[in-house]
Amino acid sequence: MEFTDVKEKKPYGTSQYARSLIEASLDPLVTISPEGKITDVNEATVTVTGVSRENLINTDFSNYFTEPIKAREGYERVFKEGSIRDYPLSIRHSSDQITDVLYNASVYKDDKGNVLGVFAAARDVTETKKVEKLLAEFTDATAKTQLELTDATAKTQLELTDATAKKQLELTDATAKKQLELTDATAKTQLELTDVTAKTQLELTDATALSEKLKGVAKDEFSAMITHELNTPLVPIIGYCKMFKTSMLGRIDQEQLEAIEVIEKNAKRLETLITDIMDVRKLDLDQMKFKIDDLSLDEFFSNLDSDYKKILENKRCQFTTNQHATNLVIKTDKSRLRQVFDNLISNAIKFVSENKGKIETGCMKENNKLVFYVKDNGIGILQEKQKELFQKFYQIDTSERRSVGGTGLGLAISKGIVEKLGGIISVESDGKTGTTFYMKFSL
Amino acid sequence: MKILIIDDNKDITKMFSKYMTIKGHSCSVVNDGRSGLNLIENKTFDAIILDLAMPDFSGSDIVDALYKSGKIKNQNIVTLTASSISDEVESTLKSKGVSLCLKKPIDPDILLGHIQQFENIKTI
Repeated sequence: MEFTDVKEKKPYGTSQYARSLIEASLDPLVTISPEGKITDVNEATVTVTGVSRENLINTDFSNYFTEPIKAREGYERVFKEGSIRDYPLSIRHSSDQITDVLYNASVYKDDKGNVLGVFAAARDVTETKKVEKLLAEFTDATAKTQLELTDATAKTQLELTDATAKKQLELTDATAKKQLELTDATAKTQLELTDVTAKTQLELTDATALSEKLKGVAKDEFSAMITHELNTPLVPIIGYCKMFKTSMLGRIDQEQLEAIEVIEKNAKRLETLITDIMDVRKLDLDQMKFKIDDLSLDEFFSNLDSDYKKILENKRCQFTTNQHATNLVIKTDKSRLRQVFDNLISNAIKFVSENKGKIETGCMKENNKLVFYVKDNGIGILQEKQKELFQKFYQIDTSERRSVGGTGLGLAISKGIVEKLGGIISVESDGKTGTTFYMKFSL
Repeated sequence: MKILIIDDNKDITKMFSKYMTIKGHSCSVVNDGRSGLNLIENKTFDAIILDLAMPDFSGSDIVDALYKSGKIKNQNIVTLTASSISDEVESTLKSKGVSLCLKKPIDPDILLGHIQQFENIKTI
């Protein structure tokens, strides 16, 4: 067993006693080599990542965070500054569950002062963060209510004082007994007022908490409801289109067939638009889920190549894949990465001319970066238009461009996905002879 | 094949049943969850197309009821939903005995292709 091995070999000077201390910690603890590979973890780390100890050891520590680049920056700071305190990161469980943590980390050295690696301890702040957020909202609401209530109370008391003063004036000649009664009554009224105020505050506090809770639920359910309501009418539309097209409902002539094909094409476009809008919303709310797995780039590009060669066969447009870096396996969400390529390639298809169109995709290694690209020989994008390209609903406004369709969300979504996967997307074009999109990821 | 279609949207059930019937299958249609469960418990179908989101008694409720009574084992259930379902929901449904989870809108050719897989498995 790995555990016994570690104990026997005593790597990095860990004694059995020290290990039992580390293991006793409820916080995730990890030691990382100067190369950034995990050298040891405790049980709490296994729990928070959902990955076994054997599978964690010798892997890149930054793989287990939602923002690998930020994790590596923190790691580099430890080396530069000796230690870091309360560095915020989010750990991703293999089931995609996210744990927000604060990291304390420092370098550790051998007897001679040589740096052996980094020792990092995480503190789970998911609950604290939730409570903090709720508390802030809650405090705001309560403060407001209290202010209103204080105003009302002050006003009532003022009225009451006025009335009392008035009565006292009227009662100047009356007996001390009456004054006493009045004072009692005032005191009683004030007491009742205080009671009511306290009770109202309590009820208001409950109501505030409940309404906050409902707001959260509403936000989640809103997206689901919109998707459902918009997609449902498309089911019979697309279904009947199919039946007409395949003459299941009787023979149709050429003109009718063309009409049905227009209906079908537009129904499918609506379907894409719904998916795109929901993706944009998920990205905006930071709710898009990513499934990070090993991805063989050889396989990825071979699929891309065969899929698009088939699609572009009839369009007389040349499609090539040029993999300059082979045998690479990276950690990413393959369907989201494919979504980005699909977006960029379908854009390219729209803007190349039908007979002379050339689209090339591929990847290459540049220093410690992996660069993907999608290159076309289409009409290009002018320099001054390139900045706005990644904005939502942006399509360069020329009649030529408007005629090609699309949702105008593809590039905004691609940028969002690439950034969430830890990369950078950029564009290069002379505005005449084609466009190249680059996606850079750290290796 | 004997196919049961459960969906609260009548346009959808009519379209699917028309399509499946023309393709040579016999279709039963219900437009609410309780009648759906009742039919499943009392008749035999080769495949069930089940909408997940229905008012009062949903497709998920049907799956739960069949799972609890143990009657889900003999069923070939394909769920359909127009809202995106999470991986967790999908794996829960499958662990309870649902064969396949598909998204709406769907090309009826593709849906039928999936359903015919059940027939192939049976004949093997």
